[in-house]
Amino acid sequence: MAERQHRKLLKHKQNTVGYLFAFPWIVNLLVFVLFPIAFSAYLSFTRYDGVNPPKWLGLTNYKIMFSLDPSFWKAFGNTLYYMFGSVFLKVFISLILAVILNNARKGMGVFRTIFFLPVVLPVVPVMFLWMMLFNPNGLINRFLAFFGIPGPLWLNSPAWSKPALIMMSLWGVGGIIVIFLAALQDIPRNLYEAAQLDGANSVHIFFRITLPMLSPVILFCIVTGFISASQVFAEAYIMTGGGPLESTTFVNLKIYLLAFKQGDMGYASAMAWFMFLIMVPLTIVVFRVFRKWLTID
Amino acid sequence: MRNLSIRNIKIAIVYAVLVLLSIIFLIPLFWMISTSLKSDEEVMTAPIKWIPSALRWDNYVKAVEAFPFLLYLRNTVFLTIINTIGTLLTGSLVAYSFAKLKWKGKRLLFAITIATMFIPGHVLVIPTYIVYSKLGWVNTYLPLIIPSWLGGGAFTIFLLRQFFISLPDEIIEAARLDGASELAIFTKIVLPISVPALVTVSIFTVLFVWNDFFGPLIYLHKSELWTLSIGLRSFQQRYTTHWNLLMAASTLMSLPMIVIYFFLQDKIVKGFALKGGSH
Repeated sequence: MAERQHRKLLKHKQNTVGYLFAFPWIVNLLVFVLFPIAFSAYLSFTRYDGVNPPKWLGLTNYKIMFSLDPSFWKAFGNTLYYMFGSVFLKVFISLILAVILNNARKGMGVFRTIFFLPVVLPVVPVMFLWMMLFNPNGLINRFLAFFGIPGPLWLNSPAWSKPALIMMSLWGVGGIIVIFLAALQDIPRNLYEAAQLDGANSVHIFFRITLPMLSPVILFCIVTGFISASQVFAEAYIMTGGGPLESTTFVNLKIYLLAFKQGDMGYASAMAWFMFLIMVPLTIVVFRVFRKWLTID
Repeated sequence: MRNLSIRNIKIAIVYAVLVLLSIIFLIPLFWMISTSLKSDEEVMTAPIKWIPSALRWDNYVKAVEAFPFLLYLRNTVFLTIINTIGTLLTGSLVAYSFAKLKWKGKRLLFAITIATMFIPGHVLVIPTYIVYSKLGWVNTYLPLIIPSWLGGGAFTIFLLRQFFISLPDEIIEAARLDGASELAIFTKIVLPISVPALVTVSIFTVLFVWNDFFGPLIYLHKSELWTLSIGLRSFQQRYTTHWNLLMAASTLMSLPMIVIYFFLQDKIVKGFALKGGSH
């Protein structure tokens, strides 16, 4: 009897200590994650300028967004274009580079250092640098002219502005390369040895062993890539201002301009919630993949 | 013999590709530094001028004097330090609680924590801004500091938890049997052996705060509060055609991150790989 009571008391004490240690984070989750998600859902049904109390509008914001505001669909299309272009190219190139690096035993460290370096550079200087590179008279067009190719106007051309931003994003493939490299090193050596004994060539080995073994990591990189590319903002804000002809007005830029420049936080919240709902299934996918790796305890 | 030479050719091709790509990757950075040392006339000339005919080191002096660089540097350093301290203090407490303490609801809360690493952030921005603005904290550093002092973010907690979990339970149990309090165990036994993980978390916090653009853009509207990111942006708007000065300022802002990278590369790369779920 006394023992049971003692154990109950101990458990109670353990709980208290645990909550106390985790307290800062519990507050953080409540105030800066769960409350904002709920509150922005509410705001999306209102008109709210940030000063006067929100006015209930029902579904009006969503109706405007879906049927009366073509600029939203334009921004949504731009965002999808950027997401697909940037993520698939990045993952594809990183995969190839990681496999090559993994085969180049000697000097791999030096190459990895070089490929990863752009990832740690601050965002704003990197964007100025690429604005200069993409200048109609900049290094890229001078280089193309050397081969007699007339370069496009890049950031000043509605057709080339998004490809230019995607090209710039490829400079950051190092972040994915190191993830693939770590995963490649987790593949058991004996799988390769067995395949080599069977006389498989390197193409076979890549498609039969490497690719299947990497597929969860590839999925992870694609999905997390989508989630972060869907939030593309600074590139457009700093480099193009959303133009030319709204060709780089991404949803996040639109949300920012609506909420913080035009004082239309209700409509901006509706857009934010729409993007949130679209991305949630991806979050669930990546969460599933991630959790499998976390079952260490 | 024939096999060997084919192998050698393959290896030669691999290295040729890697060297070529490395050059392509380094050119933008080289161009940034090269431009920062050019005269106004040489910036966009044809044919390409790889190395300036005279190295204009005074571009750096001009750039630093053309806008309040030192003030923005001080603000950025201040934010970086205070956020790192907060992240280390509170993030390690929370992560330890997830890793080694037993309490009800822990698993669920950790699952939510992991999920927040992958939540698209659009939806959080506006309500969070409203909260801070109702508290009167817009145009203060509080919105840029408070999150760090409340656990430091999901990635920090995840990274530290992975490290704490790998610590043997025996040392903690032994201290408990000796009657040490949980806080004493944490500060006197766990933290001292966790320095490598704490260094990794510090690096990621420094990188994040130094590079952050969105936070300062939304919350800091008074120029005396600006960080380098925002300050550099306003400098660029006034000096659009002076690419050499702009690149000098950009190089100065990038330099600390490059130095950190060269000294602590392994930790940064490992942290990134961990993000991808490999160990």
